[in-house]
Amino acid sequence: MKRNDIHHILVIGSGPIVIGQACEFDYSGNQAVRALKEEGYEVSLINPNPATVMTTPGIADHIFLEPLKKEYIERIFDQVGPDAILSTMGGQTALNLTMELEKEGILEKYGVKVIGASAEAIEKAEDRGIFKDIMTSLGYESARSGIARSVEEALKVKENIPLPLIIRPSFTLGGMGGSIAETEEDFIPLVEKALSVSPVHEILIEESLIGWREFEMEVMRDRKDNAIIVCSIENIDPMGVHTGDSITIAPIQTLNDEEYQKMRTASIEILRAVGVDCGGSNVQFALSPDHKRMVVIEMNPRVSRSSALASKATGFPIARISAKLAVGYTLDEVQNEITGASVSCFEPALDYVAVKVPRFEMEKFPFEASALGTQMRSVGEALALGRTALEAINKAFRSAEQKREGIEVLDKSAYDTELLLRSAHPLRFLAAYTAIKDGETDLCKLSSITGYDIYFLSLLMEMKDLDDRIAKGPLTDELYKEAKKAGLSDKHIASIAPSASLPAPLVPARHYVDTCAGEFEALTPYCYTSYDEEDEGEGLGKDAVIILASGPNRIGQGLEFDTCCTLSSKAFRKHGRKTIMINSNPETVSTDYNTSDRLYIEPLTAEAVLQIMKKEGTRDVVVQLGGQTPLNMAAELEKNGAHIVGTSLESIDRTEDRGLFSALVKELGLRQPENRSAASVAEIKKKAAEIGFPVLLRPSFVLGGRAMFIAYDDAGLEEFMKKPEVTVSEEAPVLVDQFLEDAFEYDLDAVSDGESVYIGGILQHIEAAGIHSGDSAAVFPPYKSKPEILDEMRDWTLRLARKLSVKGLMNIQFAEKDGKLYIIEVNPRGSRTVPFISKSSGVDLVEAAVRVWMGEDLVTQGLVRERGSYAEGRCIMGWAIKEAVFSFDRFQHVDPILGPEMRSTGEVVGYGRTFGEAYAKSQAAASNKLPTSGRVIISVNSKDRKTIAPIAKSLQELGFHILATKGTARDLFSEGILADVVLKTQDGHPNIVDYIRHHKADLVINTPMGSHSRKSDDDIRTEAVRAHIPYTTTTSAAKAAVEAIHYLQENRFIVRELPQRS
Amino acid sequence: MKKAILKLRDGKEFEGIAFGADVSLDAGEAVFNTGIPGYQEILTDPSYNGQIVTLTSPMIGNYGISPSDNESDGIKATALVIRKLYRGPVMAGRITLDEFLRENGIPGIENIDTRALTLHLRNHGSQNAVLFYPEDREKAEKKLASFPLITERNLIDGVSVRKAIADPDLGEGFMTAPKTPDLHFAVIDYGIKRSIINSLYKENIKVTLLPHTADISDVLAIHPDALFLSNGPGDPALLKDAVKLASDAIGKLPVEGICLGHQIITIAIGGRTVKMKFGHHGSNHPVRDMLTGRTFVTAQNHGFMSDQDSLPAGTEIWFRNANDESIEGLFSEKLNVRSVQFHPEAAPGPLEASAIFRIFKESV
Repeated sequence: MKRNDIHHILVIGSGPIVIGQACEFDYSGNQAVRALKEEGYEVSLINPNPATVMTTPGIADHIFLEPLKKEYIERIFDQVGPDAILSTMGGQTALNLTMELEKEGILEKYGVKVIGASAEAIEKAEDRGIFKDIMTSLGYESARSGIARSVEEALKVKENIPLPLIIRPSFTLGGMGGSIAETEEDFIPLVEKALSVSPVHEILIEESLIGWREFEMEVMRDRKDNAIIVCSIENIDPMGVHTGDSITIAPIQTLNDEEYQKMRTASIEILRAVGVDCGGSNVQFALSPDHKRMVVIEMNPRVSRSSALASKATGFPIARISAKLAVGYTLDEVQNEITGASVSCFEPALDYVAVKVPRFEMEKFPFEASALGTQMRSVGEALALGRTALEAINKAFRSAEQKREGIEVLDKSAYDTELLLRSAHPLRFLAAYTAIKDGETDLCKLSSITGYDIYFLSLLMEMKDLDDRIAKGPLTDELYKEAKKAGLSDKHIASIAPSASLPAPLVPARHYVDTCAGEFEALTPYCYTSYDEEDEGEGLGKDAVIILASGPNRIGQGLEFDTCCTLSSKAFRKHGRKTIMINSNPETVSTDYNTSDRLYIEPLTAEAVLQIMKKEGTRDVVVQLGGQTPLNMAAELEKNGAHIVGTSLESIDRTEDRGLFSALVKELGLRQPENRSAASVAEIKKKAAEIGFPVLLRPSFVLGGRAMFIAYDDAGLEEFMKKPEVTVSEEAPVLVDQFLEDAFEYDLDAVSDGESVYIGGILQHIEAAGIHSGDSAAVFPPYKSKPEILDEMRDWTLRLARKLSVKGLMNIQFAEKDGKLYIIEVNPRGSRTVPFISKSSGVDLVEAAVRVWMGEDLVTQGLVRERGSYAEGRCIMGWAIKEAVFSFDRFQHVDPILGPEMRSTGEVVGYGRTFGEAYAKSQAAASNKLPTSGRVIISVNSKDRKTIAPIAKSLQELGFHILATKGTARDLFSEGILADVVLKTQDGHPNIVDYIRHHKADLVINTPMGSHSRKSDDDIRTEAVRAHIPYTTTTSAAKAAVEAIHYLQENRFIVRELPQRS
Repeated sequence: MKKAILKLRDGKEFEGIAFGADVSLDAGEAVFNTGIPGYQEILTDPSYNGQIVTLTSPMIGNYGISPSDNESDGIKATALVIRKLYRGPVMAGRITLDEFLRENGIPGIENIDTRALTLHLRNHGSQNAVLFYPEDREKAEKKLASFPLITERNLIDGVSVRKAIADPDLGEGFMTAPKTPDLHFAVIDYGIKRSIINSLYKENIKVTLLPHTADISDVLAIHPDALFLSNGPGDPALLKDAVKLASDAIGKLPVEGICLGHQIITIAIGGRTVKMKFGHHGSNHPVRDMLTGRTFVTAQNHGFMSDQDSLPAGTEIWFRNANDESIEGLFSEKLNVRSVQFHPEAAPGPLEASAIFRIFKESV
């Protein structure tokens, strides 16, 4: 029964997207908030991530985009008075924060109860020592291990357990700071590192189970001791690869009933012993290859990435049910929404398999052969459903959108496949396929080398056999059908078949994900397709519109786009149109079964989309909200009969194709940086010389600034051409642009109906030009611009929108240098900043776009007064500052350098009445610790010397000690500011980098020095990121920091509620 | 790869590929089971005698067959229908499912759209079906047309012991009979699963298996502490002798039962059983203990159930299905009877209701 002793619940979100904590927590938080509101509770929410769906006005009663810090939570307790806090929806961040609030007595002070998982249960599950004792008392084996709080203790542990050893810090997310010590030499440095990242300076050292099988159970338990396994998951990759980085399959495929039930029983007993009695947990197991030893690895007493995956794999909404259990319900009291005929203590039964393939950013974060380990490295994941394992695996590889059609052989000239077989590497599975394709038939041998179960290797054997038969030909109808059933794409089949023409096309069947293997009728429309089977249900018809989402998360294309897709579905439905969502990303809100009228978990490929179009009987497809993924297939869709909703493909082309775009700019009399396009290496050099250095180089058709590069000289050009992803040809020329060094950059988001324009807002970047817009802090409204420049932007926007007949969203990037405005690029689609601008301005730009698509112009919508003119939103929160968040600490060997290629994984916002407040909060939310006292190192170029003086003076007044490099110090002295001199990096030791490395600086102000000292600038920034010392690269950012420090010194923690939309 | 056809009584047909033993006009009632692992236990469960079993889990055979996981001396189902058979190698000490079927002379058919078949059985009810090679169509259709319904077939004769067996040996993977038992149960074998006997052994109960033809004097002759009625195949309404035995025993001995045994008890105390549309067959069925409110996830395999309205006064409902509220267990203190419809011995399925055997023991 529902608890009546609580009335108002605060849900803690997980904050910015970082590796190991991504949009799965937006999905679960969103479900939880909805489930609690259904029960009549007042719900407050804190999450500083503006890209989330959960922070959209109307979702919760009180929404705070404030830093996830105890001071801010305390203010919320004070201001809106929740009497309960739900700790289990915001990942490790929320659990840790809850523990902190509990330990410091803040919860007690405000009379706030913890619901979801009690502090006691969290402690038992998370403290590895206690957890191990519980396992022993239950009679389960854990890995042999010891706890250490110092290097000496660690060495003592090592005496009893042989190398290799796994080292894990306590209380970190996604296995951060974890590593594998293979040799004596590795051991001490790895121990030191792990001790330093654990918030409690404690590590676990344990026996290596590398190569063992790995399994997971998603369990739910209620206060009456009812418990179910929602989903069992088998990691195809063996132990030694973080489960987030493993290819996984659900349900478990290789255990017999006895083994399975043993794990099932253990999972439930563990939840009982730990005391999880109103929510979900994930329990992980390792099994020795001979199935003789079962070892409990760990449990997470909260919703997780795995639980989001399990929810999507089974249709069982774990977060929703967890929220219901948290407020007192029991499993048998909660209806299963999918069937309406079963209760939630009915364990889902699957009649398909769900395969997850992680997506890595191997180009952005390159890593060596044996790079995967206990620390998660992947940035996203794709899920595919199929009736058989081979079908689902092929679909999942395709869904990962890494240019593979499915299981494919690796190019042996590019990869050492023999080495990959032995390495914990993202390509190991394909290396195994390559070996089989090369004639390896000894699966036992291959299994012992790779750690893959023979069952999965047999699937690869089956794939090889099928591939060989197709290659041999002829491709009969029967063989074609077999290939489609095995999940092969038409592209793959055509590429290997002797004749390129395929047999008559087959239409796949629609199946429902029903949680019960067909035992009951499904009420919710969650679908996947498979071939040669009976169809279920009817198409929605031409009234429905298909929304293409953005697929697996990657740098530059993630949560922001998914939020746009989710909001558009909501808007379409609100205005009377049915929606069909297609996506492959299980972490998202868009793949929640009640976001759309029908959901398909399918690869985002033209083939799949066209099939769904046919099945559903509609042609309308929205391609402008899912980032580059839908746009890349738009032409093929249109060619095959799709009607692209909104802005025409021709217009999109005119902005994407640099030549056409330049012509457009010229025609409209606008200005863009000097630009050329080059179809060969020689041409690149020639064009660069014409424009003059520095130049910005980029390949065609890329997102997130992939492979973009600033060259200051010929050597830079060479460096660019060496990048593996750079190709240059007539079809894909390289763009050579004038680089506007030291310019101010702007982002503008707007909606147009083809006639009028509503500008949501203009964002001004704080960081220096040359840093990707996604990586730069940005301010809404612009903080340092002449009104006439802003007017020029508005005017240009209107002209572009009308000329291109933009229908829907558009994003324009501008730069201003020496009083002149330049247009950098136009994206006639939803951008990363749409959710941020929508929230901060109080106008949902996505809904405005949807209404345009449904025929309601902006004047009718009341957004623009006069047809053919523009109007603009304003920031309703005072100042809104968006800050980028990085996951560099996951990649020891990657230099955390920012540049034109996007590297950030997430974002946060800071809102404030003053600029200083907003900036301080944005930094706090991004976990950049701005100092309130200590030392500042200043090293600025000669142009900035004038502007830096008042900043240095303010810092001095705020009590900081100033250090400066020689030239800067001299100029400061002439302004009456005394600074100690530090050496530049090239001038000996101890220099500026040494100061940073040894934490002898608390803030670094370093503006770009031009090409000759770029290396040194890079070193400074890299070291600052490593040492977690805040740094700024522009004087404007420095000024922002000063204002923020001023706010922090006042020690007031103001929280501002986001207004509800009328 | 030989083609074969599965044809349902209402005319619906599925074409697939034969495996296992040769197909030879194998007829029986088509049912589906939604469990995920556990195909070996299902195939060897005598309750499936006379049934063509479809597994909704699409890939079967993945982990092979272990000598220690049989629920009886061999496969009892009539035929196996699946979406895809795993044909690769299995762990040392195990054999493949294909081999197992061949050894047992039981046919299988794969590449069947088992989801469509399941939805059909769900919507139109369990019904007779026949498995045949395309060339035998005529004979098969003739056989199907005249094949008796499950409610007309006596299926227990073929799976019950012929004579009394004390302390039956369960073979590899199971417990041996208790040396110093606390109690002695007379267990009527209507096709008992080894795991039920094993569970009784675990409670330190001596078991004497009696054939389904045993009458009350046979039972009393061995001086048991209780009469236990096992699971088994088919329609309980046909089992007049079994019902008579139970009626005779009530008042003289505690009477307990599982599955078919539960249904026999239902009739013996004056109630009725009814055929369900497609039954409960799977490892995920929630039942609520009506005395404690606690819910258990259970293994189930039944096509008949106790009729709620037929129960005489004084009968308590012990368990109900949390999904459809059907009766999953009964007891009567006055008559000293106690029974469950689900399978506390699991095999395959969750082990969480195994405490039922303790209750069976303690209530004697």
